[in-house]
Amino acid sequence: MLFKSISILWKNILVLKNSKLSALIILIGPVLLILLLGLALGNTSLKNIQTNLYVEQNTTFSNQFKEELVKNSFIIQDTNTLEDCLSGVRKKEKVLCIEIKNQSDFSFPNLDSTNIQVDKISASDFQNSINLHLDFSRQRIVWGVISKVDAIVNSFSQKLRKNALDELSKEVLDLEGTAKSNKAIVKVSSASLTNIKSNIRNFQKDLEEDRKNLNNSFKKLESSIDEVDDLYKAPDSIIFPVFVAFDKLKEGWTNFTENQNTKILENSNTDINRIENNLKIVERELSEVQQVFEELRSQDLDKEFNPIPLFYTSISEGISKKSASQPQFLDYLFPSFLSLFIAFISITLGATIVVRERISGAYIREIMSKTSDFTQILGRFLTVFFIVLIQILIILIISSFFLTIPLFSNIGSLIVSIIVSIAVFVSMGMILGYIFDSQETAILGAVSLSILLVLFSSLISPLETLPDLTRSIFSFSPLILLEKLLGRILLLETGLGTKSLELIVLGVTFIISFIILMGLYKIKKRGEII
Amino acid sequence: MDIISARDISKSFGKKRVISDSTFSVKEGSITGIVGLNGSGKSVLIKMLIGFLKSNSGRIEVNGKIGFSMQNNSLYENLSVKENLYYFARLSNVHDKKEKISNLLSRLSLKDYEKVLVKNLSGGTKKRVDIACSLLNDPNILILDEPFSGLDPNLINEISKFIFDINKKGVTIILTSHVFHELPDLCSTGLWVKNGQVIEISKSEIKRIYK
Repeated sequence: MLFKSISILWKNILVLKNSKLSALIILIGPVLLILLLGLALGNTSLKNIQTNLYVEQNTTFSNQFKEELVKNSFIIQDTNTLEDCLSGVRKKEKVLCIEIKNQSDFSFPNLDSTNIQVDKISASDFQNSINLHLDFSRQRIVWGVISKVDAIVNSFSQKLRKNALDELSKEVLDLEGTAKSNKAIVKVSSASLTNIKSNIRNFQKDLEEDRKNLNNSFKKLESSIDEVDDLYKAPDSIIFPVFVAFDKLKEGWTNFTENQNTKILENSNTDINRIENNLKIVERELSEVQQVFEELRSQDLDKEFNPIPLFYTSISEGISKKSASQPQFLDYLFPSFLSLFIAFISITLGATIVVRERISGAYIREIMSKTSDFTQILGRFLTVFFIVLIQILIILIISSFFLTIPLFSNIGSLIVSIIVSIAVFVSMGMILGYIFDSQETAILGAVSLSILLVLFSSLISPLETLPDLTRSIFSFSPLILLEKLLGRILLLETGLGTKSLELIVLGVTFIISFIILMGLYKIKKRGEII
Repeated sequence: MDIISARDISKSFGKKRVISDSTFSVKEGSITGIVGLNGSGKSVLIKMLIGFLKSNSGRIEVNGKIGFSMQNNSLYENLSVKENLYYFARLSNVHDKKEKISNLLSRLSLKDYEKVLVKNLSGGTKKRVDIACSLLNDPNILILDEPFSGLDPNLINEISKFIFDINKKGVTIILTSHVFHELPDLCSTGLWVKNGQVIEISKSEIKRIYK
């Protein structure tokens, strides 16, 4: 049994060996694919990222930031308005639009409670925020681009943060020192006030004592005067003025002690109490400030403080048909999926239908019938074309029920793009059908070509990750051009416009493919008859 | 009257000369058998007569329309008999398709099979359908390459009778076959391909060669 199995195996190897093209595909195919894979994925760093830049107000920061972007493989094109900036991305000419916004009302987040003004620390440096407008349908590179810009922004933020925090720390330390010394002054003032209060109290006591003594003295004096008057019966003209003078003196003293002194002392006491209370408040507040400083010192400001905020938004935002919902992951992936489907089905079907016809006995009758070569090719071409077109329509109709993006809002552009692209891929598939003589090798060739196209599509290795030469070659890949077109039509709703470079290149590719197809048909026809 | 006349024709593939400086003719209304050993150049000669291959030198004159049936049936297996006939009629710009196809189906006893897929037919019926396709454009010359190939004796008889019938209706028949005992009875004249030369031979000479 094993011997027979080995015999069958050996026979198949011989068959392959004798069919040179099959052997070539089987042996060279994997080698080529590995080489291509290495070429595609060997260096995945992003290069030549086509970028639009819109700067609201030119500053030292914006200029330095731009220089840094250029150093990091961004190809920058300045735009005058945000709309121009966004339009480049919508047309799929640019990968992203970077908007540098000036925000004069910007202040430190997390530090507002301290009432520290940023203005003191080179405020202009902190008046920028960066907004990235991205095409999220380019799943493979979009996060790479964000990460790259984020790294650049971070390097700037780090410098600014360090300067700002150094400055802030200095300010905080100064303020803390001032608060401490002020607190000490308040304490000294409080102590002085306590002394003053005690002195006033002593003075009040002394004054009371003096008043009592004086009152006693007055009483004694009054009784003495009375005694003198009784004893000596001094004439009224003499004694009366003495009494009047004594009464005035007594009245003056009474007024002095009861009105002036008491009020002044009472007022002084009230003032002192008020000052004392105020000083206590000041002292308490100074303690609170000190506590805030302590808290600030314990916080990791380096992490919390972001001087240049970076935001990113999808360029497709707002196109969703369901209100208040944004395009989902599947929506972003759909143009690539559709392109891939068109390419794969068209190429495979184109190749197999041609080979099936060629190996059919009826083929010779077709060749010899009164039918021109062009008609024969066109007939086969249209067969595959309509099969693929129907399949694509079915996919579109079904997808329209579960995708959030409106698939048919640009129906004219969509149909034109699909028709031209199907034409291109069907021609390519048919070429393979005429190159390979058996169904197996034709399918293998079709799958290899499809893999090659997918390998160099935005799904696996976007142009931005490819070396210069490979990029310039594969920028004409029909799959990449179709992805761009469909992304623009389905996600960005920009349509084809008056002239679409991608469509023109696809059209030219179709014409060239069809001419090659015709030539190949004529060559093969001769061989087939022989 | 000669319906096909060839003068000094030769055909080479690279350095290999298959037909060299041959002159011959085919009479109208005849059944001409092309005989020769395997690899002698019979198929090349047939393809030259049909016009598939051009001669390197010399000239072939054909006074009429050619229909042909190759060794492997030139039919679409997944189409019915009628669909095949209609398809090839359209390709050959045949007028009155319906009538002509109906006539052919009756003439070749294919009426019962018109809706049957070709892949479900027997070898003999397939050959008849193939010949029917060859007759769509009303040829006056019918070239059959190995019409008996893969058929059992009963089917060979059936096809032979059928060839006679067609010939009786004025169609000149040129055929090759490796079924030696059938060819001398069927053919009225012959072309012998020997060492690159095409030689006209009579019915008796065909019998002698096969003996």
